[in-house]
Amino acid sequence: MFSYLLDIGLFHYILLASMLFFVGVFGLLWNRRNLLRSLLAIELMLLAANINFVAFSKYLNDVTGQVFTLFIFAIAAAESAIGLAIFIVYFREHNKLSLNQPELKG
Amino acid sequence: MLFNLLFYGLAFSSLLSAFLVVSARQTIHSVLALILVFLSISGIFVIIDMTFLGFLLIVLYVGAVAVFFLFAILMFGNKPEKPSAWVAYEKFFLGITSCLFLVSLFGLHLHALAFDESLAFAAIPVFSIGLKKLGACFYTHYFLPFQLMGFVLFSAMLGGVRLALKKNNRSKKQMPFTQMQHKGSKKITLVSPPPRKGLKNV
Repeated sequence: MFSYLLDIGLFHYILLASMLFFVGVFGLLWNRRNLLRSLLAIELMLLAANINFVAFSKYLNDVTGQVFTLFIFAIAAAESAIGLAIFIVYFREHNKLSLNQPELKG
Repeated sequence: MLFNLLFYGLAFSSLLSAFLVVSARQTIHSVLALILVFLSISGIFVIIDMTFLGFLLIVLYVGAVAVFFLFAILMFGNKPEKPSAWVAYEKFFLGITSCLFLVSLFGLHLHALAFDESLAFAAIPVFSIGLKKLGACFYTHYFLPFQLMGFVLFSAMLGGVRLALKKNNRSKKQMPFTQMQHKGSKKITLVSPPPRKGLKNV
């Protein structure tokens, strides 16, 4: 058991990435009261995928993992920008950022 | 041993901060906890010898994306929600996370101070051989996706501006192109109303 604790290997990075990913998933599902927090949870999920790529790139000695990480950085930045722009439009319309109350009247 | 301690410290710091992101009472605490997650993961990238990606995470994610989220919170407001069950320990967890992160950040220097070694070995080389390999692969094998990323970012910028643009009706700005496209025949109708009848039935 101590060998798992003392020798940091690929398993630890994958475990960290999967735990962060599940925290992101549950954050996305539990935050219907505040949509901005769901977007933060999406960023957490993208970061977990990044850790996965970087860990495999390190342990398989392949630089392609880091290249794909750079692509994921760019995509995550673009997606958060578009998501926040959509939130701005939604906020102007409904004046709140929650999905709880029913919006259709009549 | 030092590597293990750094890894566990940064990993627990990132996991605690991630829990805080999804369960903090105020939205601004969520964004600050997300910044702490990014810094912890950047530290993990640095100790794994991917220094370029680690610092790029700070520049791009913390410097651009998280700042963008802060601006968004500025716009949307910071309404505190109903407290969930374990949020009473929120400040405690924030304290532990910050301590873990700061200890990991200065771990190399603390190690050098504890064991009376020189601090020269603690200098982390940023421009290493791995960066050359990354650049060589990026600009040769993956050149086309690199250009496509440029298009993706450009279209994201266009989409963001177009979605969030608000037409200012108070400004007296003229748009010559639209004005030149008006046809007088469609805007003006010549009528001849009968005398003392008015324009209602014309």
